[in-house]
Amino acid sequence: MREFLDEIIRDRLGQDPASWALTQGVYLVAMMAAGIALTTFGALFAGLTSWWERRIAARMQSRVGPNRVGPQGILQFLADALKLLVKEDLISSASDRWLFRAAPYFVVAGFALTFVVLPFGYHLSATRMNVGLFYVLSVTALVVVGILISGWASNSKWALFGGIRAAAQVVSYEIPAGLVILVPVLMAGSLNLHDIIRAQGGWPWDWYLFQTPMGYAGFFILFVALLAEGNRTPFDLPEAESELVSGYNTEYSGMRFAYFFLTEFGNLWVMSAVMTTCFLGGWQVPGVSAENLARWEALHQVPGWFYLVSAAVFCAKTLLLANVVIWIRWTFPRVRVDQMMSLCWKYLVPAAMALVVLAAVTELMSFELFGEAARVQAPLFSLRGLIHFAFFAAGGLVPAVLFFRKTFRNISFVGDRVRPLSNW
Amino acid sequence: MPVSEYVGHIKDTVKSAWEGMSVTLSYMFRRPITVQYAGPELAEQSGDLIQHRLPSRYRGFLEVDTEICTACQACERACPIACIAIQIEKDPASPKQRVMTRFDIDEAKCMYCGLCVEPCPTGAIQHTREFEGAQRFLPNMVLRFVDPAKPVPPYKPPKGATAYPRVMLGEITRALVKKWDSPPPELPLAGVGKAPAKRKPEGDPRAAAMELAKKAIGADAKKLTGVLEEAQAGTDCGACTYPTCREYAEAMASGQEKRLHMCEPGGADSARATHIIMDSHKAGQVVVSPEAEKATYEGPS
Amino acid sequence: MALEQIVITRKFGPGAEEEMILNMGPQHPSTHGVINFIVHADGEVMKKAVPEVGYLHRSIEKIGELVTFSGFMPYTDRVDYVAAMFANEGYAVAVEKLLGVAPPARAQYLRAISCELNRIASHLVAVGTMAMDIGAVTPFPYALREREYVNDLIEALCGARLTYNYHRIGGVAFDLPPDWAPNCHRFLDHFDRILDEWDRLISLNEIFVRRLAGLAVIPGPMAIDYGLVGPNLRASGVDYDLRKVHPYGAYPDFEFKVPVGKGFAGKNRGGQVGDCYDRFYCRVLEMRESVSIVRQALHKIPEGEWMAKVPRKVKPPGGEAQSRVESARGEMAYYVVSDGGEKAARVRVRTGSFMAMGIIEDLSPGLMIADLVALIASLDVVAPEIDR
Repeated sequence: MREFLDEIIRDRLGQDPASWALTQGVYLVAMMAAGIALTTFGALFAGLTSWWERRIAARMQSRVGPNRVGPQGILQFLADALKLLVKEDLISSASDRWLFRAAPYFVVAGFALTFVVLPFGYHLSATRMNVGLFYVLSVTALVVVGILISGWASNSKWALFGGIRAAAQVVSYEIPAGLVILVPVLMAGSLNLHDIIRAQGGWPWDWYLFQTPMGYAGFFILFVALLAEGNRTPFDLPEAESELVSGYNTEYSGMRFAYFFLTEFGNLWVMSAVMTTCFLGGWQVPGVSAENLARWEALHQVPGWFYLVSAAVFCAKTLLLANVVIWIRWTFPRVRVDQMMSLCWKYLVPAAMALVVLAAVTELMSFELFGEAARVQAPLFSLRGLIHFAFFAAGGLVPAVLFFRKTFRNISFVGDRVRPLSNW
Repeated sequence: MPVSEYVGHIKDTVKSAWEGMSVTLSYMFRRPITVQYAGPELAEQSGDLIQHRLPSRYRGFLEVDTEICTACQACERACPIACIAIQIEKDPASPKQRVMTRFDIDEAKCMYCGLCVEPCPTGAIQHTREFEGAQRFLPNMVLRFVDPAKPVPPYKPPKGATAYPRVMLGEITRALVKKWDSPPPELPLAGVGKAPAKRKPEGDPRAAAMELAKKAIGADAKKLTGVLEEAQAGTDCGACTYPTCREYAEAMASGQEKRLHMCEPGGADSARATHIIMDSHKAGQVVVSPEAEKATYEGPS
Repeated sequence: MALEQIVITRKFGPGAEEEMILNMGPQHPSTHGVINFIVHADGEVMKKAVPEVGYLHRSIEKIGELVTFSGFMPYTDRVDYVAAMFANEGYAVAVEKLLGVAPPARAQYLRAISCELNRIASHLVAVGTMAMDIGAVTPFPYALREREYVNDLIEALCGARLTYNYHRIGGVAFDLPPDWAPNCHRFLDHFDRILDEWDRLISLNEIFVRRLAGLAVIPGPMAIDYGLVGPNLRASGVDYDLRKVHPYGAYPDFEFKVPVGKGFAGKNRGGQVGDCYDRFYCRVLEMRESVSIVRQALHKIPEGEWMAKVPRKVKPPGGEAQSRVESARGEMAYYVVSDGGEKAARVRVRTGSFMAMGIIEDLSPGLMIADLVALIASLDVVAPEIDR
């Protein structure tokens, strides 16, 4: 972003950014604008997702869902937010008032700070931090602090249970997440989110997901670990409704509750975006190869449509993943605390560890075999390209086809008709 | 943990994810079962009233067609929670005639059990398929089927009738259910909240029975019939298996009917009076036997 | 010392008030009505959970002495509003015994049909809420959707969806409506396949099975000692079903199996006879048996009257009578005493949920809080049935 601003100051304002007195002021204004834009995006996304999740959940449960406020109920989240705004702000007398008030801001801060590095498309991100992935992992830990504070400050046993569970869960699952995220980092050789994306290609067989078995397994491990970090079912222990009433936010109401709510749904974007970046090729547009892009950049002629299309591709992948998370939430039961722990320490951590070692060895070997070419995506009609495609077919296409066949058989088995878009 | 078991756990988890997620996804491609509730106004416009989709036995708001109500009060007695209140008075215009001045059903208190519908001799009281009657003021839930200003005479069913002309089910109740925010009736509401007024025969029932018994001494069949009819409750409810009180009295007077204690509305008073009248008629003087003292209502069976 | 501390000390011993005492209920989402559990916990693990009952006591037994015999029938609906048909039947059978009246054959069949449909509805609620308490929300609407179909059938039969008041002293209130039997057959065929889908969605789900396998095991002798009845008893491996052991009504005419707990979760998952999963799966299997009973009853139902000749004002001679029916929550017994009047001198209801509540305190030590929720759900307690 700094280069972009420097460019504007130099070209449009005719000043030298290094010596101009107002440079820092321009930086500040731009930062505030970006911050407002990003948090607004986060809040809007969280609101819309809360509506969308309710619609999806309803359809999965053969209901209709909220469809009264606005077309198809899309404005439902505004109605909900309004209702939460005008609600009485209750703070129970026995609570730690200051911590109680502070907790939602920790949570929201931990969520909003991730947007500093998250990419939205080609060159579309607030910063291009070279330790981006590391930064994401560290600021998301701030959410746990907020949850722990809220659990403690509520002075309610249920909330305390929720807070403690959240701390145990998130701290545990940071480890497999942190380990397995090393797989794409090793493959790309960078922690910068944009660099990881640029090391992949546009077509599915160019994604890290389908390039090596390590990437394939790593995708699922990271997915499970991020589900647990985002407190989504089957790991929604901190707010397990049927056990802990509402977990850490039991005592919260009104807008303070809305902050927790917003973070929970906003985290859906964060985790999906990280997954998309690391394994699903990010904003890479199919058909635009790395050489193409490099040529455009060398000539300073990156076409405007590429920004838009890459953003659209990135959002589409992220939303697809977010939908999968929603889908999982409405399918699975919740695991117990000890099972959650054993899953993490007995299954995910050893597997992630093995994957990192294997990925390192494989990278080394492919350097031995292919030299510097291993860093670049191979064309489809080459040995490496064909291996990748075969892996994509075996790991992606065939299961998808079988899965959809099974799904439609489910429908005809019960004697229902397939009606894709009826009665929405 | 052996490796095979370790791998087996992972395999089972993946398999159940595969199965479960295909089931939930399949519901994305099916029609939801939710029926969108349009609300009464919209439904009225489209003519697709939800009431029409309910089965005919649906137990909604109670409705009384006072045109065919015999004022037998069988429903009032059958109701376990006394949500029906009926009041019968002598018509000031013609003293022989009795009229219903009140027939209230508290739909808020009603538990929709259907026990009142079963004993009704003419089917005047029925459950409708109406259910939308939310009220801001609870007293508005009391439906008053008889306007106190316009008392209704009891219906005399024609002899041998098995079907009775009835207004279309639901029309009366629909007309009576008020708008949700209509003002409450002025309080205190006449009669509502009080226990339903018990119909007390004027004076002492025993003295009245003695009076009747004196009349019965030496009376011919026709006069005896009249006396006996007076001893019954006179609601023509049919609980005694005879369509009217007159016919029951005729049967007793002619000696065909030996069971003298079948007047349900009259209860013990009627049973005792009938017993005394018959005894006195036979003996030629007023007799109060110990059996008559103990007489209570006994059903037809 | 504050009163609550005294109570806690009496329940959990001295010093307990210094430790974590959780008040679970009566407004907790998964106590299935207004029940209170006082949980003495050590972190997530419970030392003891003591159930407190009585929040939903409506003195139904006393009401039985205040209204007439036939007027009490609607109140029996409220004894167990999830399976009201059985409460209806139990009371009707008891008063019939007092009166010396036998309902006609068709009425017996109608009772069996309505009760088995109600058993399906009740078990659907039981297994659906159990899945929800474990955290899977979607199976619950599926179960309730099927229950709505059952409710539609029962509504067409008797006019109500929850408080049926369908059985009468001496028979049933209505005959089958026209077109009812084909509709019912259509539902049963559909429901068979839905149960298969149900198994794939939740019964065989690895997380679900592992949550419940080997949890809160009730061995057979212990279940008998505590007076458990119905599916809870059978899941412990005791083959005792009133419909088989002391057949009543039309049940001798039907062929059906009695599902008994076998450790359905499987040995490799730690499943044992009488664990929570057995209690869950026995109910699923019982629904399949109920489907078969309703099918047989619809095929075999005789023509004829559906009400015996009973006087309008029921006035049984003095005496006492007891009846037992196999309700969805196990054996439900009515004991009615008549003094020859219009009203009963005493009505007593014995319900399965009350007995099931008694066992929780002894099963709870060592379970986790999440397990307590599963245990309550697996025992299928319904608050009004506990307190009446």
